[in-house]
Amino acid sequence: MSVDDSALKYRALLQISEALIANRDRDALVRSLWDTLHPLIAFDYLVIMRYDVARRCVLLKAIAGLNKLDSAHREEWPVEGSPVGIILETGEPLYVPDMSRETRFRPDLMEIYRQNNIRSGFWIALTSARGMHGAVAFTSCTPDAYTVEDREFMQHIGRQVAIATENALAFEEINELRRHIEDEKVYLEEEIRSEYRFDEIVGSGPALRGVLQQIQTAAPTDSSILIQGETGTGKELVARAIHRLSSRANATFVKLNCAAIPAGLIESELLGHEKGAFTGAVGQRIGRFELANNGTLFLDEIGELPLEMQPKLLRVLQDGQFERLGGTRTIHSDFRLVAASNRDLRAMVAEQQFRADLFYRVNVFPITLPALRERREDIPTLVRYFVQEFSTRMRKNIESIPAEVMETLVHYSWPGNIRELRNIIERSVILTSGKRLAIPKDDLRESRLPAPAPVVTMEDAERRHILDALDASNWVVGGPSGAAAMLGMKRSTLQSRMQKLGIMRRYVGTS
Amino acid sequence: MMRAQVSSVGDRVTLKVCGRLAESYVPELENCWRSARTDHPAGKILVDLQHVTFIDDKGRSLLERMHRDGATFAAHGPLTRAIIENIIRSEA
Repeated sequence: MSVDDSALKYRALLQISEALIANRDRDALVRSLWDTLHPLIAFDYLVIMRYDVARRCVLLKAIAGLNKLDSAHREEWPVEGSPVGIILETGEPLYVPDMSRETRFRPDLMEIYRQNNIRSGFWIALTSARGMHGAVAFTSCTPDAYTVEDREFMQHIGRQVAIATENALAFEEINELRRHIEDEKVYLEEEIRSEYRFDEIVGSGPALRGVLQQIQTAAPTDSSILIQGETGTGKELVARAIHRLSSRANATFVKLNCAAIPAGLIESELLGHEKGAFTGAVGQRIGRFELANNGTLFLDEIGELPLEMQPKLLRVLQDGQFERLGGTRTIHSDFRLVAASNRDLRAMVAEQQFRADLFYRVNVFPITLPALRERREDIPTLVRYFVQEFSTRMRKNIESIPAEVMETLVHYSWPGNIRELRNIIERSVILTSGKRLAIPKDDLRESRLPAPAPVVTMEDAERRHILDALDASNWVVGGPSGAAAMLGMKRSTLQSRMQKLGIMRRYVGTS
Repeated sequence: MMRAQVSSVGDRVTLKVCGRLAESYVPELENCWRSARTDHPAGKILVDLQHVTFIDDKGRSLLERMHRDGATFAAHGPLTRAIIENIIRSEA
């Protein structure tokens, strides 16, 4: 090898290194190799193959050549009777100077070499720490195309190609997994939507129209939204509609019900944790903040968020930054917060049960959902909707809803709102045997619970409680049957409380 | 998801709709309806809604337009029947 040749080859090696770093795609990698090596070595085809140990076969992964190999469409070969089988067996590179004299290859493989006029070739194993994972072949239409020096140089290249192909394969596997996860996400979201019918907000009354208008207005903005309403009014449905109509619709909608998670676990649910952060943290876990990056985080029952967790949530909302439990790395997450509560958060702020700063941060755009009894005009449509849903699911042929049944349903108070209506209809469909819906009227009567009392201040509640005790004791404060004894307090303490609360005996009568 | 399928026997054309007639599926069905009308200008089109699970406001508006254009409907289930009955009554 002359000095010039040597310089050219070292330069080529450098170029190959650069190409290997730059190209994570196999086809791009093989094109780069072709462009770099072809001026230096007289080969006509460059082929990268992968060896599948489990299946004992060779997979054709990339080809560059003068003409595409005729049989390139066949992408899989048994390893036996192939050049890869031989280098696997001997552990050495394989040089075939004259293909016409070769007797170790399978006839079908020889036929392909003959068809493509391949007269000689050099095969090098691609090995890594995990063993041989493939081979690279330099084949030529000229007999005895490579000198000893050429083959030494090609072996140097082979070592670099081995690293690059392993990286490319790893990237392919990662991409494949990512595609799989994305497909799975789309499928799961579709399944959630179809199972819970989150796309379907049923009704057309003015109260619902007002809410839908608010959703349309608020969704495209990135502001935090607070949804308030009694239990069963469809707060999650509205939160999902907001997400669907927002610019974040293609990212994830992440939900956390603050009331459903034990207080001690909420922090790790939201922030995530590193392995070993606490007893039970057996592995790393990504929190909801991180999962919701670029998407929407829905915190249901936010009023139940423990007070000690509230400043941490506030910090994340303000800075978009947090650390996983047990972690030191600051993580950034950009999510839109939609919170919901069936409690009066403003009153909770007054009673110091909810932080004022968090309340104002969350309550940027409040949406209040009407109770079902405030939108009775939608009840017939909702009833028909649920009857159709359940009768299809239960394979029942319910065609009509008698007027008196509808009348009963419309006039019921529905303390449990749409959730209760849905449950009643499900039960009714189960019990109906004919084509006309029959409802269990006793269930409606038995479940005719009073509407939830409005939340009152502690002072009002205390006043009411003392007045009840005074009424029960006929306004006798002291003594064994007096109000103080009933309430389990001293007479002087009760009198002091009465004075503070402005409770005085009311005298009713004629003078 | 929604699926619409047109079939014809002689001059009887059926546009069968399955799934959710709502949101982005409504224009899809409208295109299908227009094609069916163009392909069968003399045919009477029956819109079979027996396998429809949900109809939103846009879907309902499309059904109203179809009804005005001469479609007849086959409906099943209280919700779908109520919507169709309402359309027919309001157009009468």
